Amino acid sequence: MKRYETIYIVNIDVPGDEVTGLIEDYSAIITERKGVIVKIEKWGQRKLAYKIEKQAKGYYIFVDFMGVGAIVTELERKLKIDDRILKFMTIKTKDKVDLKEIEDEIAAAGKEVKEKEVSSSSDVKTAEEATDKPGEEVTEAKISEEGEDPALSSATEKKEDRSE
Amino acid sequence: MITPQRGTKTSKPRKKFFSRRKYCRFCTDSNLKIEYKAPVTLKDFITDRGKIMPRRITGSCAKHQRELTLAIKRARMIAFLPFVISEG
Repeated sequence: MKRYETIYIVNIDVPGDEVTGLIEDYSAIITERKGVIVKIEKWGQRKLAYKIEKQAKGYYIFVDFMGVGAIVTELERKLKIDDRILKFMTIKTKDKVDLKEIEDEIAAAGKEVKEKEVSSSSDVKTAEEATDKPGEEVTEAKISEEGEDPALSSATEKKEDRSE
Repeated sequence: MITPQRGTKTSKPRKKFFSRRKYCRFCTDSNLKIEYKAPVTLKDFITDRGKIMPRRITGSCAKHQRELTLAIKRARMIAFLPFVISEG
């Protein structure tokens, strides 16, 4: 068993109900073949870096799962046929994974979700921010960049000193 | 005003090999991760035309440069980053 990540981009013209059905269909392909889905994330509409099938925007869906190679071939075959899918990509993140490890991770993720639900009852806004994962990543990156800024600025100061 | 400035520039002995110390951003900051899913960090390592920047310019170490190229190529595949940015 190996661990994979699949991202697929759905055409934004596809209505919301159909997207949820579509996600279920593709996750069924994984579970039918004894694969385990770790998590599914809807990243929502994003601007594409280049046009795909004359579309400038796409709806991103991210699936983290474990299973055998046959799952990937079948999943990619189905994605290729589907007209609603603009593009997809599967990446192997880990060779040889233990089922226990994954189960622990899923359990931990479930706990987090529960905690989030609790917080959502008190404050709706924070829950919304928490569920928006790609947004979180972006902010993290920004913070880390800011952390490095002082070093950069000091370097530029040195440069100025030398030029004087 | 332009000509005297030029004169001063040429009269000064130019430091040809001056460069500020480069360092690998990923070695110094362990929180910063190279991932194709975070195109914001990867954007610093591509040129304005979308090419991957060489190590001699960014100063990243060999290990992280390898990871970077892979991440950038993956990000391109899934349309997070462009393959080419065509001229205006």
